[in-house]
Amino acid sequence: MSTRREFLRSSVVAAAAAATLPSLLRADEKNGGKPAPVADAALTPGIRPLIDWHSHIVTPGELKYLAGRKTAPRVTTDAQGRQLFENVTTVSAVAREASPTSPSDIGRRIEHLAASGIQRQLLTYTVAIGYDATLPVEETRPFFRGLNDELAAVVRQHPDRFLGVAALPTADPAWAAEELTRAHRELGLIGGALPLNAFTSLEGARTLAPLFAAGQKLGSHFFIHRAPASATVPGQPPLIVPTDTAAVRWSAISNTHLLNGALTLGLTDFLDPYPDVSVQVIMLGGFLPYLIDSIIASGPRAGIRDPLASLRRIYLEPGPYSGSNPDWVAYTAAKFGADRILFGTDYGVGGGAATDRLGPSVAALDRVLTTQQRQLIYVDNTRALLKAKGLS
Amino acid sequence: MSSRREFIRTATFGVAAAAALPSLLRADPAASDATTPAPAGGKPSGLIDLHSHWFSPASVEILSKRATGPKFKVNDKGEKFLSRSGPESPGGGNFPLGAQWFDLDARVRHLDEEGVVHQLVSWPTTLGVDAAITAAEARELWAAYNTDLGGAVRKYSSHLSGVAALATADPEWSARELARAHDELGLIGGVLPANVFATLEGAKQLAPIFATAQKYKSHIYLHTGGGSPSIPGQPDWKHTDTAGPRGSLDNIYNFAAATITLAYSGFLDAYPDVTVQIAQLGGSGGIALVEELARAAAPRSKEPTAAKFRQIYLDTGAGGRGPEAIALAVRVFGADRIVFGTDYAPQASVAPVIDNIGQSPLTAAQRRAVFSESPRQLLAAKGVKLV
Repeated sequence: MSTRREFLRSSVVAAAAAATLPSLLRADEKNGGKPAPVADAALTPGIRPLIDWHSHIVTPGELKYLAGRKTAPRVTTDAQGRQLFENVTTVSAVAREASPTSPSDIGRRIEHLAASGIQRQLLTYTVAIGYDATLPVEETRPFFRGLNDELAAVVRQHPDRFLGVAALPTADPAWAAEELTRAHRELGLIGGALPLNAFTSLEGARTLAPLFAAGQKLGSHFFIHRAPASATVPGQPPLIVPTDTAAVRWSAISNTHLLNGALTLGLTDFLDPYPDVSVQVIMLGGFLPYLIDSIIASGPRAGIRDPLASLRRIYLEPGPYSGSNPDWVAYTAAKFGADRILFGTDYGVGGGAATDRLGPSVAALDRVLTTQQRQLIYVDNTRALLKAKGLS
Repeated sequence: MSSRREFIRTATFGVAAAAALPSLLRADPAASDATTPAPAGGKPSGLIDLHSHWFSPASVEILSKRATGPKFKVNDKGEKFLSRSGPESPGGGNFPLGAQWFDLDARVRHLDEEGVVHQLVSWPTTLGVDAAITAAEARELWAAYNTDLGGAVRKYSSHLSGVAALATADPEWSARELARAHDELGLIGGVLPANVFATLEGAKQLAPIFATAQKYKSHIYLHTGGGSPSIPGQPDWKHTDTAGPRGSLDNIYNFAAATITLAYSGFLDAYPDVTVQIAQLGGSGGIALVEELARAAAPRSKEPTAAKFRQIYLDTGAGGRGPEAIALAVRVFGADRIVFGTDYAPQASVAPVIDNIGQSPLTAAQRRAVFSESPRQLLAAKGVKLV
């Protein structure tokens, strides 16, 4: 998608697709024409998101590359012929038992989009795995290039359903800038996906200046996902591997990492030279909503005249919190402004026929957001963002 | 806030704010319409403040004699400071100490004026003294401070209670000092820096203190700051830019990590009669997000929030003073877990936190619980009789 005309055309296609919903989601003829209860999210009248701005895709080439590796991150095949993904511990996640994986089921994904009434999805690779930190850059460059080709092929095949952002290595910002340019000009992607920890400090973020300079020329959209960056990026958070109460402690660690990234992007002068770049920080920037009051109070002492206005240069996006913790989305909308929040679900982790996060996420947010907030988060912010990129 | 008119104004604002906020922000959506101004007469009374600090005469004397930081200093203008070894304090490591840090008569007058009937006093662990001195120095300093604090709570028994300063570098000595605090000084527990509880491994180093605390049914107060480097697992964040906001974030993480240890790890299981108070709402409400995420991840958990936080109280403090953060904490943990605390001494007045609670979208009953009933029940369980 590159023009307003194309976007409108794809919207018409989406409407047509909605009209051909699977029978499961239509009014149940065997039930006196009453709506099927399991699909209430899809059938609830009202506003529906234009784009799910947070989804992941696992590609055949990705698994082929990982299957060729001797050490994690790698893919092995068990006695039943299942492919298992094995990772290593990073500052962003502890390595767990190898888990089943397979290429993403695009057909199933499109069915989920149609069922939920969401027109499109932004596709990204699974940034959280941490390839950028755990693979040698000599391997990362061709690996990411292949990933981007595959992602672009899915977008080309289903232009009415998907947008994409390119995988970019933080270990080689100059090459990443070239790849971003290729992604825009040859692949039809709209920006890049980057690991959050590259933005833990201003010093670290500045190493990516060549990439953001290219992003400024191209009007790129950067999707910032929690993950470790290359070890060459300074200022990243320390490794804390919980030895007790791990699940709860990872929650605190992850939300802390997210906010440090949001602070660099929102409060420092890093983004000043790149006014045409848009930046999306996932999971609402972690603890950010809680700190807004104290940031506003302390900002002027730190030389930040209008901290809230500065922070609102970035877009926040809820990811999994849409479905699991919709209250926090509403809280963020009240504190940060619904006009700077994009709808997102974290759909597709692990590949295969992913669990449908779309309908449940919309249903959860419908319960807590006002009509005006939904209009902004589901529709208007997306339109404004795309318009700024000349896409609508 | 210093007048009845101002309180009514803020309480009225609280009603307006509650009406403007989405229902999920209200502490109790079903009852939020019941949020009411203060009763006729306006100014709240009977408030019990569980978060305040004091520099005692003996602590001033000992810290004045030190050759290096942390060292008590007075400049040519008569202004008092604690000179610290670290750069974290505004003013290049010199932490200013106004008159309210020392003058108990003035403190009691201020409390009376603001309707605060009782206040819990503790050493300000924020200043990092315990982390910066040797075990021997800590034993001398804290013993002297505690003796002074015992004298203060005897002199102002109707207004003040106290918890003893303890040395994280020497848990065995601290256990004995905690016993002395109960047996001889009339104190109700001890204060410790929160960061030493960031991991279960670190908390276990303090087992001797908690064993004694169980015997005395102590009230243990976890306040901002780090402890002795001998305690493992303490967070060590380093920042090179945007220090103020990142420091606030560090504080959230540090308190959340400590609260996780106490609420989720099982550490307190061996000490069922100990109560623990965690300052600043356990990190400005960050722990509320952690708990809600835990609930979402395990919706059928057999251990509800109330059970996990049975022994734990979160005080409003200065860092957690935002009206909405207070309401969120009440919504997630219940009003009986949230207690009024002002961080008096670092804050020259208790009024701002009273204002914040007044503006918080709470029901009248919730506000009453935070201001008075929850802290009153806590103190009563520790043998503090309030008129």
